[in-house]
Amino acid sequence: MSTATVKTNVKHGIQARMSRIERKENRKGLNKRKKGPLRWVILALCLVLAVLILAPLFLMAINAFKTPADYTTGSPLSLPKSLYFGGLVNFWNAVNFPQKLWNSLWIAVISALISVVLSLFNSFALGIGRVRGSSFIIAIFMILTMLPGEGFIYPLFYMFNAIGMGNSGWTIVIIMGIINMAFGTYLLSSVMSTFPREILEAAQIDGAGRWRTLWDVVFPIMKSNLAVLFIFFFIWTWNEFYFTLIFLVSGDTQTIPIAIASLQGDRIMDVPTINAGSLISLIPALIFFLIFQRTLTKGITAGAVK
Amino acid sequence: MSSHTRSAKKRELTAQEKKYEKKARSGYGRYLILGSVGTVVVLLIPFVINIWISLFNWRGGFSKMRWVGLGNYSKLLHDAKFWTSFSNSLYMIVAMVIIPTLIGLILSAVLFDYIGQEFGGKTSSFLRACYYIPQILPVGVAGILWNWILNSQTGAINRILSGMFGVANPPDWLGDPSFAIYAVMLMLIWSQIGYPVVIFMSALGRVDPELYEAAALDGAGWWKRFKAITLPQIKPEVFVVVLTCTVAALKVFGPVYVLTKGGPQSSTLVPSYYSYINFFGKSQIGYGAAIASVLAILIAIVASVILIFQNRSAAAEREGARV
Amino acid sequence: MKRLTKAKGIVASVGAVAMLLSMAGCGNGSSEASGDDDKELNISWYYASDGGDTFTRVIDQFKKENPDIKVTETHTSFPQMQKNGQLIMQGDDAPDVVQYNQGTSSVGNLASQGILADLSDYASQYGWDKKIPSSMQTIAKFKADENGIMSPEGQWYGVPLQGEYTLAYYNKDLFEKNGIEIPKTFDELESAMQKFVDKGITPVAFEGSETAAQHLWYELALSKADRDWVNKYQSYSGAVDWNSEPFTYAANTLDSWVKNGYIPSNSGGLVAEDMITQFCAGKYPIMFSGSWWFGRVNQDGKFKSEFATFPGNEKLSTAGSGKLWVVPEKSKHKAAAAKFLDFALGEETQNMLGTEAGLPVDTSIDPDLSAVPTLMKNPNKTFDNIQDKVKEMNSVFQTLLKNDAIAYYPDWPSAGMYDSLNSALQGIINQKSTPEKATAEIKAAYEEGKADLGIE
Repeated sequence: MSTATVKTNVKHGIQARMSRIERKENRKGLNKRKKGPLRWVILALCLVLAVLILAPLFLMAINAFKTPADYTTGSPLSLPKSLYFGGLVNFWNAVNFPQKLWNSLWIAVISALISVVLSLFNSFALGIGRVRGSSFIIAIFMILTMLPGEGFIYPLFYMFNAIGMGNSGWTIVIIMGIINMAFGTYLLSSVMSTFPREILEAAQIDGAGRWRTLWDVVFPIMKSNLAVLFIFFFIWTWNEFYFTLIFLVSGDTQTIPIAIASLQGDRIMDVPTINAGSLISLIPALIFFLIFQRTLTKGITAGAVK
Repeated sequence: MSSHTRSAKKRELTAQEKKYEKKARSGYGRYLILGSVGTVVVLLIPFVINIWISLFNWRGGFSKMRWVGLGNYSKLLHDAKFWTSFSNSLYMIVAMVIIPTLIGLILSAVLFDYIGQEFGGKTSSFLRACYYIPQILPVGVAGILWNWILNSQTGAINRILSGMFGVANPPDWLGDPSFAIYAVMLMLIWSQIGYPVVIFMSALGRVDPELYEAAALDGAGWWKRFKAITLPQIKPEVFVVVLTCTVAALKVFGPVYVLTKGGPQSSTLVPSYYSYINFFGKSQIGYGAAIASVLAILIAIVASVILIFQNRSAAAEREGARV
Repeated sequence: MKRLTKAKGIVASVGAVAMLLSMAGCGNGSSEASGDDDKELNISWYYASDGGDTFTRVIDQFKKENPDIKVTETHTSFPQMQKNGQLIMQGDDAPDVVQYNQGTSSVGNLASQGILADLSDYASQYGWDKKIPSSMQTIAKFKADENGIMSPEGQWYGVPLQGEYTLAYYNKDLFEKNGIEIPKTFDELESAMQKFVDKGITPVAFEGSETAAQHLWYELALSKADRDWVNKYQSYSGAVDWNSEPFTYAANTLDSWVKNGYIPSNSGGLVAEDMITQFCAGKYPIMFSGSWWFGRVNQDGKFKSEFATFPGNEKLSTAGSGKLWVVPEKSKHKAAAAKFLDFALGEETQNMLGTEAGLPVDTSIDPDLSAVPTLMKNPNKTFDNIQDKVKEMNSVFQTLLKNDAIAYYPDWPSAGMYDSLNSALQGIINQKSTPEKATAEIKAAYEEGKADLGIE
């Protein structure tokens, strides 16, 4: 049997399962269960919790639009007397925001992509292939990433400087890529070890090699997990403070969190500017999360395979 | 079937399986090459160098390294601050592992299996995003915000305590050694909750909705479904969350740095921060490296225990499925 | 496909080996001969984002006067450099001139590690050793061979451009409203604080997490100390007697101030930002803090304010330079860096600092706003209308300089001191500890730092 047919066969099977689930879901939508006051109570509780969690961000928002004098003479908890955009303007001018945004973006995206692909490879070998000593390898990966940053910053710093990568975003891409990869490998291997053998055997009988099995069988089913990983890796790299602080030493390579941190200057902290800066810096990461969170629920389920 | 024939058959099967497994296992190794090389270069070599450094007295930079062997480690044993910092890690584990995992389990199940069903996926996604936002916030900014909330004189918490509950002398959250650790814990719980919620919900996405439907038709209540379907299905992720959060708790640095700097009177000192003080504050690189190594070894032990536990549970499940 | 993966693996392993090999050669720090080329300069400094950053303007003027030098700018902050200065300045891409933190624990530490360049030749070449008063020069000099101890006999490893001192700010409106005189002596200060307490007002805006508590503690100690005591404490010129009066007096007085209600007992966990906002909001009549708040108090405080050195400390005062400017040994543009520093010590910059309460180290300056070049004018105009007050601020500092009263900061002797001082004094503020215990804690940290430096 040619690989092309295998591919279509597998695809076909997955599509069939998908549509079955979708049909179920539609049916469910039609006959809703009994409705009581309890559902509103539970929704209200969830909303209250959301408000509590967001309350600190509300503080940030109100202090971003206060004049420095308003902030100083009032309290951080009071509402601004008038809307002031000077903080935003100061921030924009002070940090050359578009450049910092670009630095943060490309570093986070490439690093997250690398980690996701490597995690998929690793976990394919460890979780599905059950390569000899796989638990041991996972343990080694994990334990090494768990070292406190102080522990390996010195050697890394000398290493990257020695090969002339002292002040480059690629250092962050590589370091964060590997650290996040270990986490991804662990998570995916844990999940893949519960992967239904039947599907793999079916693919094997159909003559699919390892590479094809990975992309046509494993990848589609793991999509939801991969999306979660991509989000996590993106945000972890985006917010990475420790390695960026040490490796990115000049204004043209620095990322957004470093730019915000350098707003504190010497002794004098300009709170409205810091808040305004944090607020706009939050937006790209938030947009990213909102876009990708849709994929969180869209993944095809391994458990649906019977 | 008698027990004798059963076990004989099992042995036979295992032999067959072995052959099959060997064939099934081939060809996977090459997928590990890239990741392994990266890990060796970026993590393993620096780790070994770090241990090497911990055997010296070194002030950093281009200054001389003086060999002290295990001297730094024996000094650690008599260092009260070192022990304080490790005992504080227990509080960090409560705040970053136990509480968020429990809350995360309930929340994700409620969002997925209740809110999602009753009010639609949009509502549950929206709530999930709300819970996750603190994770997106850089820790430096979170520190400023929590300083306002915990401020002893003007902070939100103390205003509520004295205004609504009439507490005459509300605690000095960040300045009083008996309260500061709880203040740090509060911020940790806040920032941590979104993580298990997102992971657990994506795990639930793998669960066949038919299972829930069937259970609901059988009259199983929410709690029963939670115990019988949700929990077993997301077990791998529960382990993942417990392990990663435990490690994060053991090496927590940022929140302590932005809120209390280990004070007052070392009441919030944690190993990472103590190692940081030695590395970058006091320039005792060798001693800092020793603390980092001990921390790494501790983390390795804890992580191994959790991993072994997880493997056993997974193996038990596979056994159960086979019979 | 298989082949591709394999090829990737090979590329990666070759890369790893290359890294390893290069690592082996990195231990001895590649010491490239300083082929000084003066056409480039990377300046790194603590940037103020309020739109009126001082050194942005200094650099703009420098660029205008030296069009042949290509200047790049890097913004940092105090906490950032405190954490990473050591590593950043060792890198091949290290900036050429860097604003860094003062004291044995910071500049001295890096000098002893060979990370910083010795600027003594430039100092005599440009005459900085003539221009800067001797008590300020001490701040710039370190004994690199003796663990980087700050000492008048050391070499130049940093350059101070500005002064700094701690003082008492008074909210005149609150004093007048309560019919209390602004104190001139220490006794008057204590009785004024008591009068406020009697009227139900907590007099002192305070914080225990950053510098206010440790500066006040040191200020109280200095009121009972002499220069010899300062040299012992700061430069390890002799044994420090922890049972001597300065230490016991400082801890006991602070303790009694908390007990009497002069200092709020719930201020231990507050930060400087809390203190300044509360003082500016008019909630407290008195604040003991640094000259760096002068602009903020005058701009944001909607009340008449007065200031003076800490009563009774005219002879020895918690004071020093602003952050020091250093040049990393790895810099390939040291001559350009020195040129910039000399520009910043020159009349234009020093005069400009003088008009903004930035306290020039050049004592011959009589600040004149009209002499500030256009590029150096403060766009926020913060100080334009309070030039008389600025001049007064300046003259108070000049008096301290003339009295040789600069006694530095309490956390300078060693790196662990900053956290330990705060931790110990927080115990007094929240009354969970005693003055004796606090002093013992400070002593332990001091001795530990001394031992870390290898001093017997």
